[in-house]
Amino acid sequence: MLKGFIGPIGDDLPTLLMILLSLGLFFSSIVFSFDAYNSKLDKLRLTEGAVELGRAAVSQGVVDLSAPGFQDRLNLLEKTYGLKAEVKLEPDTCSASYAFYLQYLVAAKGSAGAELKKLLVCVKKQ
Amino acid sequence: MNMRGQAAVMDALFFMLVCSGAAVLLYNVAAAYNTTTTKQVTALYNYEYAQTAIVALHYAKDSQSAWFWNRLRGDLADRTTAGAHIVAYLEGDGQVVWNKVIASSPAPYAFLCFESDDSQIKFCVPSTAGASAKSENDLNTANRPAYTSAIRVTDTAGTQWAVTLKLYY
Repeated sequence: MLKGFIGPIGDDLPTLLMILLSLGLFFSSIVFSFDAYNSKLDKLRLTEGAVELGRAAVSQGVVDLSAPGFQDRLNLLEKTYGLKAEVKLEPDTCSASYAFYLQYLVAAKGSAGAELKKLLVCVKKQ
Repeated sequence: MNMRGQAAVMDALFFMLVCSGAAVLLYNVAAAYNTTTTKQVTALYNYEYAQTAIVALHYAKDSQSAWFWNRLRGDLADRTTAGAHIVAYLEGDGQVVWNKVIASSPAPYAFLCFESDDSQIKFCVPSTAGASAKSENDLNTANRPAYTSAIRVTDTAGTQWAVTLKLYY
C-alpha cells in the first residue's frame, strides 16, 4: 500500500478536472465566437441590403413608388440579400414586424407635384 | 516517483493556460469581427442621406408656398445681411422645411453652411434654435464623425455660393 495512494483515477482527479475545465472553456468560446460571427454577419447583410434598397428607392430623383419597374427592382434586391422589404412614404410607417429601417428625405410625387417627404426603407430577414 | 503527481498537475495548469489564451483570442476576434465593414456601410448610408436631402430641398416649399431655394438665393444676394436673413428665414417661414430635414436626419446635429465663392463670407445655420442652438465650435466637431453633401447655387445677384449640408454624430 503506497502512502497517499487513492486509486488510479483518484490520483489524477485534480489534473482531470483542470483538463476538462480547460476543454470546456475552449469549446464554449468556439461556440460563442461562431454565434457572434453569425449574428454580426446577419446584421451586416440587413444593413447592406437596406442601403442598397434605399439607393434604388431614391435613385429616381422624384420618388414615385408606383412607377413601372420600381417594384421589380425592389423584388430583385430582396432576393439578392435574402430580405423582405417595405418602402413607405410619410405619413406611413414601417409594419411592426420590420425591426430595422433607414430613412431618407426625398421629393415624392404627390397630387400637387413634388413634395418633401420622409422615405422609410424597412427590412427584415426573410 | 513521489513528484509524478505534481508534474501532472503542472502539465494540466499549462494546458489550462494555453486553452485560456486561445479562448481570449477567439473572444477578441469575435468582438472585432465586422466592425470596420459595418462602419463603412453606415458611412455610405449617411452620405447617401445627405446627398438625397440636399437635392430634395430643390422641391421644397416654405409655409408661404414659396420655393425654398429661391428664397435662400434672394437672401444670399445681400452679402452683408445674408447670414442674419437666412437664420431668420429658417426660424420663420422656412422652418417647416428645415424641421423636416432635422426630423428625418439620422444624425442628431445638422448644419446648413454657406460659403461665398471668394470665401469671404462663411456661415452655418444649426439644427437647433434659440437658447439651445449650437455652433460647430460648441460641438467640438474636430472629434466627431461628420457626413456632408454640397451643391453650388447662384444668388439673385449672380454670386456663386457653396451650400453644404453637414451631419454630425
